[in-house]
Amino acid sequence: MIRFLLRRLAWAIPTLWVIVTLSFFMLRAAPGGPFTEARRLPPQVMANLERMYHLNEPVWEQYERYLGNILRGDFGPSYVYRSTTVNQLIAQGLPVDLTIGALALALALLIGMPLGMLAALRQNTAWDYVSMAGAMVGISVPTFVVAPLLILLLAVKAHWLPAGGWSHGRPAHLVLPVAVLTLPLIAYVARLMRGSMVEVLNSPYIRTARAKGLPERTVLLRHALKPALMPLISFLGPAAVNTLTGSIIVEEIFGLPGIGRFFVDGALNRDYTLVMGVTILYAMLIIAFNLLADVLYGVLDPRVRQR
Amino acid sequence: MSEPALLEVRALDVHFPVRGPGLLPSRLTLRAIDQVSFDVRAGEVLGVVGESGCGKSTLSRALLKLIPATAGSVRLRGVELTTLPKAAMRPLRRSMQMIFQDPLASLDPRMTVGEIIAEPLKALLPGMERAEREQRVLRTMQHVGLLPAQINRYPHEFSGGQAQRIGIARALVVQPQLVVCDEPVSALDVSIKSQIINLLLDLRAEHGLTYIFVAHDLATVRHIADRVMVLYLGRVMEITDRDALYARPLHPYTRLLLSAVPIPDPALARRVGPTREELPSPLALPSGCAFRTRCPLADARCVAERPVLREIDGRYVACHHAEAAAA
Repeated sequence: MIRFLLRRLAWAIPTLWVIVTLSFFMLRAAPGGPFTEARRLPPQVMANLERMYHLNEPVWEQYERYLGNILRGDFGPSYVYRSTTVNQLIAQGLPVDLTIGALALALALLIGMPLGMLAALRQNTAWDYVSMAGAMVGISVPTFVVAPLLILLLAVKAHWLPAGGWSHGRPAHLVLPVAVLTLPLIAYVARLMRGSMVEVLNSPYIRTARAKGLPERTVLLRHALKPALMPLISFLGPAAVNTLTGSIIVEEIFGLPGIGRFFVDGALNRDYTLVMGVTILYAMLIIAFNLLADVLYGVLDPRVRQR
Repeated sequence: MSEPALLEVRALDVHFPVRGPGLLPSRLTLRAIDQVSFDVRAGEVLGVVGESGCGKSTLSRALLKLIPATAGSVRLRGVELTTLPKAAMRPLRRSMQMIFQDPLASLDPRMTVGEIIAEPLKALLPGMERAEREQRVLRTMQHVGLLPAQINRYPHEFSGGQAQRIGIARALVVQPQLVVCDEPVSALDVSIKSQIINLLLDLRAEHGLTYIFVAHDLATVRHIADRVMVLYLGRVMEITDRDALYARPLHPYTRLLLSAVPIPDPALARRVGPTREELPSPLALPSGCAFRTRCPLADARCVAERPVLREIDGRYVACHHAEAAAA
């Protein structure tokens, strides 16, 4: 297991390097730059800015300089949010997304897994049909519909909850964004859980477990649950990263100071360092969560462990 | 019969509701097991044969209540099982266990051999000391020809034959009286097949076991069964002592099955019996005798009247023309 982890971590380094290199040169290849605005800057100002940010150097030197900086954990200054570093932007925004995302993920698992299991156990009953139809609605209705609806009902009409804002993470401000993020996740988790559970429950070794004379609870928890979790883990690896790094829609609608908006804003403004920063962060999280998923596979299935 | 049977099955029905084709499907009934009655005496091996889809596996699962019976009665030592609630059924599972067809798929891939074999003990004999349980597991592994060193291995590390030994150990560890073997050797190579059959025979002699042994060919059953029950489309065609059945089959369907047993001598002329038609759909069974559509002896009576299982020369046959065959 330790060797497996070390090998995978070693592989993460070239993977990250490829991602950094590709996104660095793709950004430079895109037309425009951080200072090409609608109102053209005087040439002298432009030259000064470019010198200050080393944009006048050959791309190769810029690349070398950038690699050196990120190795020291320095993502550089933001070109658009002046006098702020990318590190500062991420450090301010990420906790917001982590808080909301982690809560949404936890809720999705706590609610979605039992829902899906029950639907599988009561396959083709009213319970199954109603919960799966509800899940389909949860997946199909987009966030930008659910969020304003909830704001209208619970904030504007009923005055139970604030319509938006962060207020240093006061619980009342968390409720609506977490709810909006978690609803489709609950639906996905419940559907995945139902599907895999139905399949597992029909497998021969579950029949064996029942023939052994095991109580139904043991059959479900010891024999059926573990294999039924496998597809869920595959889904959760990338889904967790997407949830934890914030959604631009949820952030915009609820006015949250997260980092989700940087993915879009940064790219539109050609804020090279900011885009690179969030891309690297995202890539590292993806690598970390996929590794975590692989470790969990091993925990759940001895056949994976031995390979 | 003088001594009471270990297992008495009377007029057992297992029906499955099926949706018909089309936009507004009609509700059809699949009669997987239809009015099946038989006894199993303590210590004997009852072979159950029939083509694919004749209800062999359904029957074995229904006997252990792995699928519910629609009607009829299954009594183990006089205790009615079909109406027994789940919780009351569990202690009885100590007396009746099952060996399954697909040895590898029937074992939880996430458990070691030791855990798999110990689990029925934990569930059915929760008072047993840990040390005694381990002893019992090791002893059972030895009985079925597994090495003690293999106790911490996982099922996928074993071959099909070895996996079936694990399945047998798992069934026998609670020391059952009756073991239902649902095609335990069908998935195995020929050489392994005979090993497993001999193992089952040895275990029966050592532990005084009773088997219901399901197979789709008469050749396998011949080696192991004392009596043979022939099923066709969920109905009993014939129940007879093994030697009598192989020497002089009374039911035309039994004759058809026997003629399908491969003869290991190419010089012998091969007379394959008349298969006039494909197997009828179990959703729409023929009127009267289920076998009449393929039977060379079928006449008007076979269309009109369903033959009941009746005794002829100490054998049981469901055929209007059985006397002619017996004569």
